[in-house]
Amino acid sequence: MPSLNTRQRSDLMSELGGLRRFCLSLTGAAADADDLLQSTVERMLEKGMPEDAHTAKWVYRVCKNIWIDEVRARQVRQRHATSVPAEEDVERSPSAETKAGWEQHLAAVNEALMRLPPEQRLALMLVTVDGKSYAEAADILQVPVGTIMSRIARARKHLLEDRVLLQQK
Amino acid sequence: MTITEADFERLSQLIDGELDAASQQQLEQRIALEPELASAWQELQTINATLRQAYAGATTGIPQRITSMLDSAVGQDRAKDNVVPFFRRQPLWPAALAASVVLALAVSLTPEHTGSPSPPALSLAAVLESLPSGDTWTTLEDGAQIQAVLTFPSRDGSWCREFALKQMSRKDTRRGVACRTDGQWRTEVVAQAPEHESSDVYRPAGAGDSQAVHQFIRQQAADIPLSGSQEAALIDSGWR
Repeated sequence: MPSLNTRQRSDLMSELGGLRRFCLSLTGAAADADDLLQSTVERMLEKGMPEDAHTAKWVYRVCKNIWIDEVRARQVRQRHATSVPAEEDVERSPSAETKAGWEQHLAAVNEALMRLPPEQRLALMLVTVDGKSYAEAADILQVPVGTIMSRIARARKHLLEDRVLLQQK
Repeated sequence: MTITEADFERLSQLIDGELDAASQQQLEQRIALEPELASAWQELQTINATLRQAYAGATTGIPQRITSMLDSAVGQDRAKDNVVPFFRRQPLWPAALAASVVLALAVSLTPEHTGSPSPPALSLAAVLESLPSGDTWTTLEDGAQIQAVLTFPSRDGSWCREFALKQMSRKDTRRGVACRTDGQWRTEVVAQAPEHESSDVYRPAGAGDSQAVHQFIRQQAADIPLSGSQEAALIDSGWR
């Protein structure tokens, strides 16, 4: 018994492009983005959604939840393995030379974004990269519009102080 | 940074187009006069551009393993308004099609070939003639359930419909295509498909006989499936 009706599936299909960009802006690497996208689509197909829900908002919310869960799980893993260098460092440094310029650029941007609290990153990516309004982002993240506004401002402040993104042109 | 928190928030809102016209005008005038605001504004724009640019290419190149999950889900009870081309539907029926049977035949399916009751031709025809494609299963005279999946124009100028058929006594679902010639629905191809199609597994070429249904559609379809409204109009007009 499929849990999405045909309209919802077809709406979901048309969201895939934007959703993939959102996934990439959260994960920072194409392979991870596709894994997140796949998990999101799987969960949508598995769990379905209410008949009257807005497909685009719903799927972004599902995606956000999966990503947050993953980020939290990773934080827990890292806390329990403090003697070992963070897995990103291990993965990224030796292979940096072999990556394409585009991927290196992406990795550098991602490193700066990883230093943001996840809530700030979510708000910033939805508005800056996905072009959502504050109201839409508030709806997806289920927080007041004012919270979106201040999270984005704080995220930008961090990034300005970080300077990394100013050199990534 | 010596600009105030409130000013920084306003700059951030300005870049997102979230300031009202009056506040925007006021802030722009201040940016023109205050070098610190101007410099922060400049840097914010740079960061914005860098972020947009970094992810701009991501909207295309979605891996097929993901689109096919939705393709195959849509294909199970094809969307009324879905206009995904056939060519992308290849991984629709994945593996595990053991012991399936293909029959390319006219309306009367012979029981000895399938080991199951044949679709009741008249009722099947009535369903294909009058019901829209979509999620609904319609019960036929013999208790079997049918669902029209989609409608497409064939190369010979007739209309064809893909359908799914469930026998209560059997676990599997059969798929088929029937085309309308001279006012009659003629079954062109029928194949068995598993009831629970795993959507994340590729179906290797030739792994199942529902391949025959694909092949038929690929070879015969002159265009993408009709949208729900096109199909409704066609049914209303008595298939022209």
